[in-house]
Amino acid sequence: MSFNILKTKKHGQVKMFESIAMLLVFFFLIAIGLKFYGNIQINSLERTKERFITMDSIKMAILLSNLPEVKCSIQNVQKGACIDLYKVMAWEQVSQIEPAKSYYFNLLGHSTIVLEERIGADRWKSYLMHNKTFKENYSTSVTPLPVAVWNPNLRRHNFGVLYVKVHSET
Amino acid sequence: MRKGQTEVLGFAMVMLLVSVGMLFIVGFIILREPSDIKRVFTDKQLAVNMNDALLSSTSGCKGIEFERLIIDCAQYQEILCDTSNTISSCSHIETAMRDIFTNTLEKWGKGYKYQIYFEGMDPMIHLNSGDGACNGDLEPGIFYLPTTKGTVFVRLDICE
Amino acid sequence: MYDAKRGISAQQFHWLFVLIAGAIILLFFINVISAGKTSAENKLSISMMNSFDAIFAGSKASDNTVSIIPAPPKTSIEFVCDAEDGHSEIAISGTIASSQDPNRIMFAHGSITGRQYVVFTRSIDMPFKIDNALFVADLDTKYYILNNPSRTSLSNALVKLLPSNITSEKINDASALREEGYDEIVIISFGNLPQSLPALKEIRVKNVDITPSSTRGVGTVEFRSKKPGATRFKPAEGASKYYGSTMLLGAVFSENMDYYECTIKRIYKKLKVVSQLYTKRSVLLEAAVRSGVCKAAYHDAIGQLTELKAVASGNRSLTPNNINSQEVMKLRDIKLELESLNEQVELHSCPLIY
Repeated sequence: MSFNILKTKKHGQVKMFESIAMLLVFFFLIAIGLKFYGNIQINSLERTKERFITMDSIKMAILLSNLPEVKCSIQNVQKGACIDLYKVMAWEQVSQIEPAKSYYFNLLGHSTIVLEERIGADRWKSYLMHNKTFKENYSTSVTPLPVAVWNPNLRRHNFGVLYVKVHSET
Repeated sequence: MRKGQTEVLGFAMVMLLVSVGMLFIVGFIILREPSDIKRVFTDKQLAVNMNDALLSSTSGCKGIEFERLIIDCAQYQEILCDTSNTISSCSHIETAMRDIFTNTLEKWGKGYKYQIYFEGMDPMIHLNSGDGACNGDLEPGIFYLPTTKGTVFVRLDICE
Repeated sequence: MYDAKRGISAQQFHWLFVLIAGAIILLFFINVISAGKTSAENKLSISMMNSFDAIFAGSKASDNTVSIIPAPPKTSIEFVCDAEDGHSEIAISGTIASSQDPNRIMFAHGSITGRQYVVFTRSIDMPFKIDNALFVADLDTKYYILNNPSRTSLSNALVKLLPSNITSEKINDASALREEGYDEIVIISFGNLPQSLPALKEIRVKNVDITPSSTRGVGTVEFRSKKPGATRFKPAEGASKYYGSTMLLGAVFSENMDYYECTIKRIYKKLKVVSQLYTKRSVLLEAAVRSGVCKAAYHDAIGQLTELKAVASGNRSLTPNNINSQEVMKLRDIKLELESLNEQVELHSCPLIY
C-alpha cells in the first residue's frame, strides 16, 4: 500500500511539472512573438516618420515658393514660379536680425534654403536665405524648385533653382 | 502511439503553424512597397516648374526670353545670337538647355527628355540625358506656344 | 482507509490550476490588445492632424480659394488662439494630436464638429501683400445678417465677401431666427444689436456687432454670446478694431474677441517682418537706380515703411491687448502714401516699391 501512495505522489508531481513546463514554453513563444511584433511596429513607425518628414519637405517647398516676401509681384498681383531677386537680397540681410530671424526660424525650422541664379553659361550665383542645421547626426531631404529669377532693375528673368533642404535628427 | 508522444506531436504541430504564420507576416511586410509620395510629386512638379521657369527666363541671346526664341526657332529662325551671325535660335536653345540640364537635372540624378516639336512631326530639338535612355516612369511637363505655323509643343519628361 | 483520507482529487486541482493560468493569459492578451488599440488610435489621429496641416498649408498657398473638406466622423477639431500669451493650437479633441504654429494666421470658431467644413483664404494687403489669411468655418453654422437700413452698403459688401458655400440669410428682425437643425448661429449686426431673441435652447448663438467709423474701411467690432434658453445676449466682451475687408471677415469668423485679437496680433507680427524686408529692398533699389525722382520716392518709401514697422510693433499701443484706433488710422495713412509713391515710380519707369 505504501508503494502505491508513493507512486501516486510522484505521478502528481510529474503532472504538475509537465503543466508548468508547458506554460513556460507557451509564454516563451508569446515573448518571442511579441518581440517580433514590436520590431515590425518600430519598422512601420520609422517608415511613417520618414513619410511625415517627406511631407514636411514638400509642404515647405510649396510654402516657400508662394511666400509673398520672395515672389514676384506687380501691384500685388503675384506671378507664378518667379522670385524677385531684390527681395531675396533684402531677405539675406534682414533674416539675420530680429524680428525676422526668429520669425523665419519658426516658419522654416531646421533647414537650408539656397537660391542659385544662372548668370551665364556654366556660371551660377548663390544666395543663402536660411541656414539652420543640427549640430550632429542629422539627415537631409532636398527638394529643388526651378524658378525664374526676376531682376526688377535690369528688367530681366534669369533661370534659377531654389534648393529647399530640410534637416531632421537621426 | 503513447500518450506522451501524441502530446509532443501536437506541440510540434502548434510550433509549425506559428512559424508558418510568422513567415507569412514577415514576408508581407518586407515585400510591401513603401509609398514614394515625394518622387511622384516632385518629379511631376519638377517637369512643369522647370519648363515654366525656362520659358520665362532670358536665354542669353540678345536678352530674349526662351519662349520668344523657341517661337523663332519653330517659325523662320530670323534671330541670330552672336555677333558673327552664325548661331541660330535653335542652335542657341540646344546649347543653353544642355548647359542648364547638365547643371540641374543630371546633377540631381534625374534622366530627362526635352523636345520641341509640331504635333505629328519630328522634333526640331531633341535632348536626352547622358546615356540617352529614359525608360523609367516619365513625368511630363508640356507647354504649348502659338506660332504662325501652328502650335509648337515644348515637352520636358523627367525620369529616375 | 487511505482512500477516505485522500481529500481533493488531483483532477479538481488540475482544473483550478488551468482556470488561474487561463485567466492570467487572458488578462495579458487583453492588456496587449488594449495597448495596441491606443497606439493605433494615436497613430491615426496624428496622421489625421498631419493631413489637416497639409490641407491648410496647401490652401494658404493661393489667395481667394475655397475648399470644402469632409470632416472625419465623430471628430471635433478645436482651434485655440490666446491673445495674452500668443499660444495657438489646432487639436483633435480626445486625442494627443495637435499642431502648433506661432505664425499661422487663421480665423476660426472654437471647434468644428460638423460633417464638412470650408477653408477659404483672403489676401492681407498693407498695401503690399503680407500673407494669406485662412478662414475655417463649419458648414453646420448659419450666418444671419441683421439688416440696418443706414448700413445697407456695408451689409451688402459683407454678404459678397462670404463664400457661397456658407449658409447665410439677410433678416430684418431677430424674431426671424430659427434653429433649423444647425449647431450654431452667428448674428451679424451693424450697430443694431437685437434687444430680444427667441430662446433657441438647443444651439449656440453668437453675435458680431460691426460699427463702421467715418473713415472708409475702418470700424469697431464687438463680440457677444448668449446662454442656451436666454433671450438676450450677454454684455460685450470688449471692443476691437478692424481695418479692411480681411480683418472684418476675420471678426465674423472668430470664436470671440480674444481669438480675434490674437490673430490680428499675428498679422501685425508678420507686417513687422515684411515691412522690414521691403525697407531693405527699397534701400537696395535706391542705390541701384539712376533717376533722381525715383531715388527720392524710394527714400520717402523707406520712411513710410519704417513708420509702418513701428506701428506694427505696437510702440504706440495704449493698452497691450487692445488694437487701438490710433494704430488702425496710422496703418491706413501709410498704406495710402505707399500706394501714391508706387504710382510715382511706375510713372517714371522705375522698379516698383511693391
